[in-house]
Amino acid sequence: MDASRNNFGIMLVRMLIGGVVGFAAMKFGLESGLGPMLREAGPGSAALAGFGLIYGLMGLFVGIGVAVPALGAKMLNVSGREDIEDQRAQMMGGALSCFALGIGMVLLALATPGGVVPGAVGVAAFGFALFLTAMITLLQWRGYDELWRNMSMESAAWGGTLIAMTLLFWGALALIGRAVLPDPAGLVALVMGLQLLGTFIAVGRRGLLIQS
Amino acid sequence: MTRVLDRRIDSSKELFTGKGALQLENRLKELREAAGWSQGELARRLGVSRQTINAVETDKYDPSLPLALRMAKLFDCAVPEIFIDRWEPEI
Repeated sequence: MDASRNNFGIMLVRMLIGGVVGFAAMKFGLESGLGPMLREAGPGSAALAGFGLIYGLMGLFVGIGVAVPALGAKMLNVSGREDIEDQRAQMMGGALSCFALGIGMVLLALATPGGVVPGAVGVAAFGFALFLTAMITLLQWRGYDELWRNMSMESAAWGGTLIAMTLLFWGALALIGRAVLPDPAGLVALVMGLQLLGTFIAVGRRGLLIQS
Repeated sequence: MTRVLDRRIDSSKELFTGKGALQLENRLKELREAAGWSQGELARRLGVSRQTINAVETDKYDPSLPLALRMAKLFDCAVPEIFIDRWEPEI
């Protein structure tokens, strides 16, 4: 009981540090370089860039943690450096995919009509990130054991359900004039944000947010 | 009414925690420690990740039948000696 409380405390501290660092980086990113460019593009683009920064930072931190396992053992939600060494390929694949999606989302957010990034570049970057994610998943599938395969399926199911429920209800409200549908950038941001939430629920259900 | 509400609360908990009504109890940790193996060592012998062993030991995940059979073979016992099902058929 004491050990599990301890581990829960460690998880909370890591999440808190991650949240503070992520929020600070997002705020800095949005208010310094990206802010003025996104302000004109609208709230959907700001949300997309914000989620892009979250994905990008997650990918970056996991990538650094895998490259330097001694640091990763302290920084990431793992029980020790052995976990990182055992799961190096899967973790690096996930980090690469998250980082590419993050960059793709930020470029897409800046690619609205009249934006600083040409539309074709934004779409190509995001499309490439989606393709890369699909390829990494396919290539790594054989290396996953049954828990990881189940978690991949569950995270897709949770994400898909959350996305469908939210969009269907939002669409229904918009149909009767009680809500305004998000703009295209907001729609992409919503889907990516809800998929991230679905992944956290799936991982949490299997007890992987608290290490023992 | 209270019983109906309790059931709803239980099924919501089941959905979010992964601990279902059909969840089995298991003696994996006890058997592993008796063999003097770490979670990582058992995982290596079974060809799965350490997280899988941890999830089974903490009742967050019921392994597939092939994995349960491998565990039984490794510990030289029957599957019901590792995984305990308290279910009894209604007569």
